[in-house]
Amino acid sequence: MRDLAELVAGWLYALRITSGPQWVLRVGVLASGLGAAALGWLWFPMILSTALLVAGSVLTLAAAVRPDSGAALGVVAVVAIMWLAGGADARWWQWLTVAAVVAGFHLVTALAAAAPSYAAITARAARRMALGVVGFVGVSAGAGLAVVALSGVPSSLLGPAWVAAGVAAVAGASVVAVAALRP
Amino acid sequence: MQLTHTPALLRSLGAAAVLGVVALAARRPDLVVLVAPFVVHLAWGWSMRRRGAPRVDVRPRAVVVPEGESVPLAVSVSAAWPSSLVTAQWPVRAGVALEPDAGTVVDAVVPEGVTMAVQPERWGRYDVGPGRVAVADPSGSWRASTMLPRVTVTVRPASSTLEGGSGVAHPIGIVGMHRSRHRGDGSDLADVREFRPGDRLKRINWRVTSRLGAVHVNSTLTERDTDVLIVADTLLDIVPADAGAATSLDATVRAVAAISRHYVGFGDRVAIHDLGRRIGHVRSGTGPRQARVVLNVLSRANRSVPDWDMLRPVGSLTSGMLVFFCSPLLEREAQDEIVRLRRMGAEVIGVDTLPEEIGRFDDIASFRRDTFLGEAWMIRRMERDAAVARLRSLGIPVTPWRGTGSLASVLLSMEAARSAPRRVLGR
Repeated sequence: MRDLAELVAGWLYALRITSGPQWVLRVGVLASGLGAAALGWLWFPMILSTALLVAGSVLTLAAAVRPDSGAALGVVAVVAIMWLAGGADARWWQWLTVAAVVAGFHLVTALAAAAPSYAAITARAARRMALGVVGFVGVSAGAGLAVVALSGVPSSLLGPAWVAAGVAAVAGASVVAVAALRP
Repeated sequence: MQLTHTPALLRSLGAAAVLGVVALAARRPDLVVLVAPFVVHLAWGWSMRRRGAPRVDVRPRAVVVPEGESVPLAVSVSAAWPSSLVTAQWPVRAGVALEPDAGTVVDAVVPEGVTMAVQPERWGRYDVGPGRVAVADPSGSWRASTMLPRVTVTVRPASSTLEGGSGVAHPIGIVGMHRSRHRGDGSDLADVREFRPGDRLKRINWRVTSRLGAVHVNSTLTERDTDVLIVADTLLDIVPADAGAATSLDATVRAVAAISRHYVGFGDRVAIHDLGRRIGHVRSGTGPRQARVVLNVLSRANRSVPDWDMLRPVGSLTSGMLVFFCSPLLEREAQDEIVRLRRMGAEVIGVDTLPEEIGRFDDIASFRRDTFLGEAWMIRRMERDAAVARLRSLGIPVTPWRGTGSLASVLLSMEAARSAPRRVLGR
């Protein structure tokens, strides 16, 4: 019982010393994570939608508390499962919206993990973070739009080139992965 | 610095690879829309990839400041990513206030460095750190981190000059600024008397000579310096319940600083004797250099030394030496020592450094009720007050230290008693 009280006291203390800008970042993680899960539940209906929404919410909460944990990847996985199961019938703007929200979640989580929750963030740094998030979401949405545009091209027009592009993309991603992990 | 990739980069890699393969296998171009943010992030992270880690430096490494001033610690970062974010983290410790309070700040890389203000609450030497700094690229894909070296902050005690006179009744030196009772070359007029062989011609008082017909000269009192010994009782550090209030050691150090500065200003020889181990001794000396030596010794005083019950008595004394005994006067040994110094012929002034609130009725509420510590301190103070009254009855003035004006009345009365008959102990 005493351990539990100490645990709760520790949480309350951690909440109390959380700085204002860090609150903004953590709320940003929560809003974007919950938003992505809710949009998936709304626009990509499937049998386990509600269960996945609950799982996504819990994982988002965990990601907001510990942004450098694996919980953020779990949120992405939940959204991906929803998309895989029920996203095929959605409209293109729905895809773009969910992708943009996921992009925001991804980068805000990465920035929140850069410092502990009690860290003060200067106005200069906050401005730089905000610009980064806006730019990243914009570029991601643009890339998604390009994909949507490309997918509108009839497959008969592309033929085997579609498969070749896919293989090249996977090979390129593998090279990037190997190179990126070697600083 | 240690350069690593972040969980965000791994997340991008994992999501892009798995979702990309699934999109290809399932022939689902819509899934590629979800993959797009992660591919963009990977590309951003790839563009930020680098071989060498950024370099960091912290300034200053060691600094001496007067009490009450803050020290800006600047962590400068070079050869970092463009638009990097720097997280500087200094450990929070008791007695050292940080700005920001939590000791951690995130800032952009700027030429003047990431600055954090450190302000020790009291005099003494403080080791701040070791700190930690992490530099992250703007995409959150890479992080370089390292430990920062410790920074030594030495805080000189506040050393205002005492208010009041010198209090020197019997200067024992040869030249100086205190008026002695001995006739000789000086500036203070003692008498006008008839000329005697050996008198200087410039001392002739022509006005009196012309009126009385015989040659008369001005007789003056000599001016001399004296030896001042400041005895610091650092055996115990009595800490009040209020964490922000001055402890007995604080009061002792501030009293020693003020007294030494006061008498160095008169040109006297000032020495310090420590009854405990926290300050250490300072040899007799004079002039501005001695003032600096005393302040440096005081600022290096180690307040973390445990209380010590072995008193180191004062060795030898010159008769007539002015002794300031700065002590909370709680220990019997300290009370005996002040009497011993008086019996050795010194002019002793007791400076009571026990915090005012200790042992008062209002202080009882500061302790847990079942410990009766408040009551115990009240009894202790009453016993001590009785001992202080006995000291006063022996002709040793004891005055509480309440700032630079504390000793004014004692010093003035000692000067006034210059010509009064002296009481000899034991008669």
